[in-house]
Amino acid sequence: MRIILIFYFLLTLIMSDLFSQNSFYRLNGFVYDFASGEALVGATIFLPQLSKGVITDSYGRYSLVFSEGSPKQLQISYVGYQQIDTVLTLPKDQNIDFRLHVKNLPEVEIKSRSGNLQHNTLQIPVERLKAIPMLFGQPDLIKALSFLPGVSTGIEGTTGLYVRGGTPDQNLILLDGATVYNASHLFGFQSVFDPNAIKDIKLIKGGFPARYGGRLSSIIDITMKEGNNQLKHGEFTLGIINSGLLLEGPIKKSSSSYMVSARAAYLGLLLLPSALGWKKKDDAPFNTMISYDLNFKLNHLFKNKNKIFASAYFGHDKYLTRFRSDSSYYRTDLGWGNETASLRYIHSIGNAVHAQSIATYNAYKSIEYNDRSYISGSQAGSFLRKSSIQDISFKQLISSQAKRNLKLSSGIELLWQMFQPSSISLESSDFNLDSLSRQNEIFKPFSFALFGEGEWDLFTWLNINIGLRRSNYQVSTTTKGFWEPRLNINIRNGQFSYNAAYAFTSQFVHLLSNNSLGLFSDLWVPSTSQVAPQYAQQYSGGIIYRSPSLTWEFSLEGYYKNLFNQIDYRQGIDFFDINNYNWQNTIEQNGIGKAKGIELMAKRETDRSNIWFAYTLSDNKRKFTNINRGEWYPFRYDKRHNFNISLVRKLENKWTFGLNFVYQTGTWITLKSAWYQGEGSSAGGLIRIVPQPGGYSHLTDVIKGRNNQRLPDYHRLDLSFTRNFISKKRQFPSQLSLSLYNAYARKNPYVIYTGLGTIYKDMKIVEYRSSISSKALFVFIPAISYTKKW
Amino acid sequence: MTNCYNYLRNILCICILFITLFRCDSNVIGKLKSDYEGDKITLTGFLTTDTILLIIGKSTEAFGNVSPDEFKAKNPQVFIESEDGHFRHTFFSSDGIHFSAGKIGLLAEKSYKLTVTAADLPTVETAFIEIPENITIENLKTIAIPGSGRITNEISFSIQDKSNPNYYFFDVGIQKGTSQNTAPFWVPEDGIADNCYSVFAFQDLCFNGKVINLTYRLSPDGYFKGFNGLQVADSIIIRFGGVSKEVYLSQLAVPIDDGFIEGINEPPLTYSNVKNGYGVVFAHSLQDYVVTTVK
Repeated sequence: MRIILIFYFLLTLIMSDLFSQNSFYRLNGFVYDFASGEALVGATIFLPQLSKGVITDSYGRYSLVFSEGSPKQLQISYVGYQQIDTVLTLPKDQNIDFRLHVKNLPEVEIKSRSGNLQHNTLQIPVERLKAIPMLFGQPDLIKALSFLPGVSTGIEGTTGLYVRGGTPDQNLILLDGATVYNASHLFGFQSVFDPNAIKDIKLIKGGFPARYGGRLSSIIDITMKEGNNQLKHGEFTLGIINSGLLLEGPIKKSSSSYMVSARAAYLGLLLLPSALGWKKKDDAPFNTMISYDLNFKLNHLFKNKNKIFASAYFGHDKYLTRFRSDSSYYRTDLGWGNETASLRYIHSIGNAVHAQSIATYNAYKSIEYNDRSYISGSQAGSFLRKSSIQDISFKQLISSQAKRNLKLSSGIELLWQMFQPSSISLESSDFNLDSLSRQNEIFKPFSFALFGEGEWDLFTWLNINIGLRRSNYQVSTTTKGFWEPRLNINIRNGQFSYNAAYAFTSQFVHLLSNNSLGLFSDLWVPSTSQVAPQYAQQYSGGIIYRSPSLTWEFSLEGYYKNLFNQIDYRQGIDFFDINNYNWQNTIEQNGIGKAKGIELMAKRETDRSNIWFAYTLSDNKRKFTNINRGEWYPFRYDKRHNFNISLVRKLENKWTFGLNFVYQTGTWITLKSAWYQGEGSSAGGLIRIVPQPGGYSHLTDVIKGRNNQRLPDYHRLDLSFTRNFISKKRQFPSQLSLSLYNAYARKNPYVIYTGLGTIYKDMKIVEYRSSISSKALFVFIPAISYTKKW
Repeated sequence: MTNCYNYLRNILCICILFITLFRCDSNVIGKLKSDYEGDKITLTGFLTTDTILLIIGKSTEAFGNVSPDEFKAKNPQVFIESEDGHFRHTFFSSDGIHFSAGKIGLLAEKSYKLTVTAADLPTVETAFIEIPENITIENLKTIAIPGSGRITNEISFSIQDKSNPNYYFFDVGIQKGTSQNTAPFWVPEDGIADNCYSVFAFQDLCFNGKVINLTYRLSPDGYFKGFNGLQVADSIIIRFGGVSKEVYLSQLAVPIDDGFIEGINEPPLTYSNVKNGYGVVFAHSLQDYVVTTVK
């Protein structure tokens, strides 16, 4: 370990010294919003003479290298902002920051722009994602990503993302560099990210650069707003289930700023009928649910252009239920939440080498508490289950424009973790189960990764990014490691752009869950001496076409992914059975998976409207030795066709119309395909078989395969209307949003029930009635919200 | 602009209407696109050295309304043969149930295959099923466990396992007078109900070729026909012996619940050793042992 660190820092020094000796001219700097001073992520710095450009990183930073100092024409642009055209002469290395003005079209706003399509990466401006109509009228950046090709959600309304055949735990969700394990509020109906506090969200679904690792399927990199460093600004939102407040402003003008946001969701309003019933009737249950998010961020810009950021996030959910019977009083409290903190310092070593140092802490904890007491007041018993995971990490990344056409990056990541998958304490006046203490096992793995990558513009039309990552993992006496090669080739040819990519990825954590609800019952568990780490290989390729006017863009991408060492619950395991005390004995291991798909996207963008069409054709399956008789079976959320339309259009000067249409093939489900009379499934029943005159009354279901039937296709239409109010003095703008979720009231199955009835006549069975029915959770939901800014 | 306001006003009216009507709504799905392959013969039953019990029927497609007659196979015929070819016999069964008791010539440690035909249905056959040999249990004893105020008995006995793969079955019932109850309250302790052994069927992976002691605790009380309220049983009936592997494999595929909420439990596949059909045919050498309850 020490050798690795020494080697790494020596490498850093060598790079900074080596590359600062080159006879190139460097242009470095940041691109900012003129009004707020917020760094712009993904802004383009384009050199028309060289037909070459770079985009700013997640800190708004860019870096260019020229072979000679002759005057250079530069175009600095960002969607929704006025472009800067300038000519620079570089007699020496320079640091220049650009500040872009918002286009003078306040009613259109940047929300009608969605950024350029990129290979394997989805980076849609937050304002555009916020314009997509959502459940309860609350913008949700994570769910909005599911309207893009290659991404889908599991159960309706939930936030678990399935990216290119992966599972939600295979997405690395980073909030200012800190990992967020459970991104769900309110049983998955809302993500934990307050859209008002978020500046940028980027989803990488393939061709991963070597700097990213630790998950198999995607990287969701989320950056909080830094805060307005010019003026104080506030924003208050009142909605059906959500209210939020954002405050930001300068601490020291142009150099340091703060951002604070708070959001509370009170699903208890929808559960109000049960609360009223609780007061009136003793035997009626009482339920309520609340969640909250708090985001903080501070940043400071030093005179030497170095920057430091400190940010934190706290979010929790609480679900309470009370029930009273004739003799007892029951209480259940569920709670879960994330806490993250990160400290980031970006600095330069000379003019040539840029560095980022990031220290993070994050924790995810869930608690389930059940209590029963007698009406007389004496305690009958209580049950407490806790699950937690805590990480402390340090990351160091350095990058350098080594040559005019070569950028090198390298870095190291250190990660200390503590898992307590399930800790149970139980008190009972009836019986004692000391054996449950066996569950309270704690794992303390340590992992580190070392990586290097080179981005090489071999020709003006050919760009190659090649990298290698070494991931090592240690838990107790077990050590595991992977070499992870990465390759990304881009070819530009006029209006066309071609890409081919390969990525090997590994992951040392697993999520034990069979749903996408983000429930408290989901267990994050580490790789152990018994449970192998999972890994994957992904091949992808694609074409992007941009019309000369940039009005239309088309992309066509394909992928093929192999997954290894997948886990799943054993057949017939009851997830809520407290006797399943050792999770390692409840799982099937060494599963493999195959996912392949074709993704299409067409996007049209004008000043008045923005529309995209996204379609994914995919196939996703799994294989375990002891599941489905060892044969391949479809992954539950394998959706063969996934089609989305998203439109935002300005109606009149102050009105904006949003439309979203979703069509998905139904998800798979395991159901009986036949039934017969006779004891055919239970060993105890088999042994007790006795012949019965006149027939046999026991019915046996025949389930022939895992995920053997598809539910009806899912589709819905959402609409929204937004009215912007701007006073004559342009102070205190406000916004009123009306939305309709599932506008034509499609009854999409949410919960599936099977039922069996027996009809008697003259004491004899004359008919069996077997039915399957579904419950649609959200038939038609109107919502209204009001936002005031100052 | 006026049109826009009118449109919005209409939308708002609809919103208010639906707010009042908003509810979670049930919807019967009806037939799904399923993997059903048509009606097939179903066969359930067992073989011992002195008994053959077979229940022959017909499957139908899941979900719908079915009369009991639709589960019956027409004119079923069963052909049984031993693996070595020394035993061949054909049965006819008009009502779909065949029961033979008494010496019919089946031998322990021999394997037999059943072939069944019925009108308008494809022929089915089982794999060869081996009848296990009789198991001798030793040191059978019952003691009372003091404690919670409720009578608890511990039953223990030992067996000598042979080196070849063997499968066992263990179950208890209780009896008062002539009334039996097959489901007493039981408490998993020691060896029973962990990875190696379980109530009902288990295999000998953990003790192959060794002498193994089995213990089991239960509270021998229950409800009995002819008696009022909870009663302590007079005796405990232990059913133990060798079974063919089909019993063990079918136990692994026991669904937790017939009706389930999607997303909570994943139902296992139904086990069958009937080729081209459904059902389980197994063999056993079970014996019942009766011990007096220790109060």
